[in-house]
Amino acid sequence: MSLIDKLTNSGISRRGFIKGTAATIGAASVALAASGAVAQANMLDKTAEGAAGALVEPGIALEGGKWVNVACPHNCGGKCLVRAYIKDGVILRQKTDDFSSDDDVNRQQRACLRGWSQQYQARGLDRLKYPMKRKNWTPGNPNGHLRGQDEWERISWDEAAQYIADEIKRINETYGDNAILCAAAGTDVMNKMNINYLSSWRTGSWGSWFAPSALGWGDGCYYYDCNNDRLDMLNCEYVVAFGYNPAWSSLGNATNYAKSWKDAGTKFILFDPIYTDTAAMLDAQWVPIRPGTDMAAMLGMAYVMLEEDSQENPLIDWDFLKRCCVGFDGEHMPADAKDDQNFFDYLRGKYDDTPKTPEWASQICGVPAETLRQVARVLGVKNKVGILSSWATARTYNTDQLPQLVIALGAMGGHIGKSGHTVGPTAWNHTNNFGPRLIKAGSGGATGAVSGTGAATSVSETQQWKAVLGEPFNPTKLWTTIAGAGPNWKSKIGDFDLTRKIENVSANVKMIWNGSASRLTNAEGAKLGIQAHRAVEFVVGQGHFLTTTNKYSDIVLPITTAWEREGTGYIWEGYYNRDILLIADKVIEPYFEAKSDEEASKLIGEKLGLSADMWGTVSAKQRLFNAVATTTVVKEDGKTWENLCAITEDDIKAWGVEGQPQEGRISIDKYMEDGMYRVERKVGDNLGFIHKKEFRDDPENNPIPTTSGKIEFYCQAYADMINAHGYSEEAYHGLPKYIPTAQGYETTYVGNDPKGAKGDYPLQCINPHYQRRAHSIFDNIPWLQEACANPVFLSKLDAIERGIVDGDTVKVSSIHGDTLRHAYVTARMMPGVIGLPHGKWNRVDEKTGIDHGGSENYITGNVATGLGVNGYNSLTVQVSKWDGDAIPADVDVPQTILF
Amino acid sequence: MDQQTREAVQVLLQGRQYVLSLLHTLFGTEPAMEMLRAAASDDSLATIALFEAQETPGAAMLREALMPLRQVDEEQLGNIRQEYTNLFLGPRELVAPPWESVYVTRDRALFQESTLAVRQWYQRYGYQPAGYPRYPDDHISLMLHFLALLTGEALGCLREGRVDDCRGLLEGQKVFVQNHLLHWLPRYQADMQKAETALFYPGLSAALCQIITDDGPLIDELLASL
Ligand code: SF4
Repeated sequence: MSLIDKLTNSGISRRGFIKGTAATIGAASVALAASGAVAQANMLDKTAEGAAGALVEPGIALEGGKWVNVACPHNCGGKCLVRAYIKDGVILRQKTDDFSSDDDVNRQQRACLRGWSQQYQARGLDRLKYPMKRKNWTPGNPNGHLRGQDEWERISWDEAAQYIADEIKRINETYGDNAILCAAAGTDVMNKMNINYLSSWRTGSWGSWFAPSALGWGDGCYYYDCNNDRLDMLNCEYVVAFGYNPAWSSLGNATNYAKSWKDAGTKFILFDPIYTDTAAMLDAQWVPIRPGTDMAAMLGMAYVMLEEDSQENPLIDWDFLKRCCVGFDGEHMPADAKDDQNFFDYLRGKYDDTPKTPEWASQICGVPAETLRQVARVLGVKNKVGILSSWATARTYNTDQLPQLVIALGAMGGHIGKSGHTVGPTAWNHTNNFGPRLIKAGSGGATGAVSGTGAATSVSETQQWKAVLGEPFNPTKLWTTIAGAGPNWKSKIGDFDLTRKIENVSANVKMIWNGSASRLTNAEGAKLGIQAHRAVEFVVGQGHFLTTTNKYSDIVLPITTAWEREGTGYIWEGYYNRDILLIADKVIEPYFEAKSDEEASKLIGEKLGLSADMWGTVSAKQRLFNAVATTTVVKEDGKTWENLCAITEDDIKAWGVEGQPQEGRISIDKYMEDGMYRVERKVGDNLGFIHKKEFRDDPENNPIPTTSGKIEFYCQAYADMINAHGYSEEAYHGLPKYIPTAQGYETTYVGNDPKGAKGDYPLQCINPHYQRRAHSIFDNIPWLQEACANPVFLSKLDAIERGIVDGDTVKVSSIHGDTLRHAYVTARMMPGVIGLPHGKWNRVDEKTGIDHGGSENYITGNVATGLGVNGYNSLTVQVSKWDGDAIPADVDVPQTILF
Repeated sequence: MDQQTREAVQVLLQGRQYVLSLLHTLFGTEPAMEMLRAAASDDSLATIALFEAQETPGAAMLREALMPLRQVDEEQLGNIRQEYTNLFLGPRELVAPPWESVYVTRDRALFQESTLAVRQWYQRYGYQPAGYPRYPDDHISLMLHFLALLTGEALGCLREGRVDDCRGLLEGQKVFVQNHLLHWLPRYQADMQKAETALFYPGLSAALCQIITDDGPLIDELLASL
């Protein structure tokens, strides 16, 4: 019987029945409506009259949307153009640079697989949507042990801001200075509140290339004039490089440019424990080398150059050494040297009875002596050579003087200051294209912001977790002061007494505010870090996802991505290719309840009595406009500059900002529409760059910023800086001597003696940057998880020895922790070394303490040496077949989703 | 249409509007005592019972799902709340995300083409989510609200004697249900059954799916009698 029949044929009194039913429904509806409101976001509003009628499904026509330039704002250094097709706030398509010309010299700025996945940063299912609070955390009753495994509950922004403000106040009042460990956006409120907090510093990606300014060189990040420009590199006959793998780190033009040199005839010799995709692409001579032993190999090659150099077969550029260098022999010692040891006599073994022969080096670095001899001959003065050291080789403990040795080795062959010769760090930050910028981002101008007088006590990241757990730490600010100071390092260092060791202090840390920093993925010793997070009273995290770091927080705040923010797409030029400058603007509305870091700070500040004006009164749009208006571009002569953008009265009106009309090379509309300006290059133009040419030509009038003004094979200032920290027991010498690295090759043996038997952790482990991610960013993106499985790379030999076959789940163990991964067994890995890719988010099994996520920093430790360099690539491990359940592929692991 | 039939259709529309509003509410917000009491009240259950029939088991399933709420105490409410948090708020992996785009596109993401299609359906009838454009339009609770609102409009039309408008509104809903909800609710409810606890929402989802499956014949019957 149909429902209508049922109603109309109801026996007794039909009318009465229908009436009664209507009354029942009415009463139910009233009661339901009175029982509470439905969440606002799940309500529809009537906003217009309906124009119903059509019963067909609305097809999604692509017309009516538009292509917009969006940012790929990560610190991979590629800096590529990404465009999204947006209709009605929804991203329907994505593409990259398809409008610029593309030839051998001027390349399109095409995005890599990560840039193509950027849309998932913006609209991923697992984006943080609301402020969340950990269920069992209440002020004063933190239940810290539950961090990382507790339940969550949704709270309002107002509640979140109130909790955070109250905790800042309580903790600061109760425990005083340095009770709050802060990073990134968190420091902003601290400063404005005039609170003294603890802040950690890192040499991070740079390793010991962080501050080679004392050695007279750029660091490759802040100071990018540390090598010749990419078009001059076409003239190199050889590139000899250490740890050089742009094909994984920075897949755009950084890789493309290296290929252009190869196509022009450059031969590549790559020292690396992995036969990398870069090596394959460049058809390079692969020199497998043990991690952390590059300095031994370099010393061995320097020895050969010295030994074999002769009139008939010159290898050394004596003219350059005598005119431009000090410390290489007894006759050319720098005035400030504290003893009379010189580099060549060190090579000869005069001071330690150990000549640094290739045979000596070979035992340490694993490169056959004959190979070292062969490469040493290539490095001779007659060849045009580029010597490139990636930052990766310097991300090892105790190799603080590696940059000094790279420069010395290059100086011996005279590969400095000439076309076709270069010596320095390669950093993908500048897309493998060095020299001063050809287009300079302007300034947003004064914002009216007040920064406050809060001050940070510094702790090195290599000590931070121990410091939180109560151990004394070194509070030096030396390194952070000179890092980025470049040629001005001497004036910055003014007040430091380098002869005095810095005394340790302790802090009583009760709160951690991570800002958006990914400390529990990107900093060493993450397992200890988790312990530290669980030990304090309050932890705040913020960001786009429930990242590993946010997972161990008490309150997490959802933050907008660059795609949702006005005016923040004008990215810091420091990461860029010198030829281009990208621009992007807000393209979609903030996702759910996400707010920018600044808005979050303001809300918290408000609860603490800070006025919103302290964050500045100039709008983001106005700042963006100011920056665009003051952006300048070099003219063809390579000397004079002009405005990039022509701006009219109408433009200013359309932007709704204040400003003056101006002349410029292209219209502001065109710049905004293209999303990029590229300076066109030609071989032989005036825009090239040869690093240290003036110095080479006339060193007296163009000194470099070392103490002596020359290249210092013996550098007292640098050694003093290292020793002033006091992290290492043994003093560093002015010469770049070989020091066995902490957790290095030697420590894979019992008693650190390579002549004896292998120890408990017989393998070395490195953390290569991996295609899936820019550091920890993108790890959660399903497309990339599918494309790049993130296994642990293991040599065939080591696999066979352990009964491991390709695809097995294996446990990688170090003294600091254990993690599981699938084995990728390959002949491309040097035996004795494994590669565990950098940046994975953890997935810790709380019962066993074993990470199932492959997080490399879960098994590194807090180890402080030398200048406090982050030594991610110094680690010894054991790999064993996992006898528990096999782990799933990352792409099959459910996303962590907070709604 | 005779007076009798008209009154019967009106009551059914009124009832349908109630059931959809009830589901919109239960899926759309964290549970509270009052809300659960109202959902399981005699009036509520009697309204649902109106739709019970052999061929369309959804209504009975819904009544079944609501029965345990009749004696809910504070502790049980707390457990149901936790179930809602786990299923709709996280943070442990969400076994069944409540958005259409997740099920109809290969990549589990929000704000997809299908989201725009849902938005256009709302626009045709003059509706917009209160959270536009920050919140995706295809949350299950929003889609149910849409149907409830259109049913209310249809009822209004009928009362004013605008039978063609009423017909149009019902036909529109039928297509919307076929092209959207029926595409993903079966998978949504199946995923819901994988939840760690099954106090309330897994059963409710199964009932929802069945009710929406039953909806086509119901609308056909209403249309036939107009
Ligand atoms: S190379 Fe870097 S900047 Fe370019 S698309 Fe890839 S991740 Fe983005």
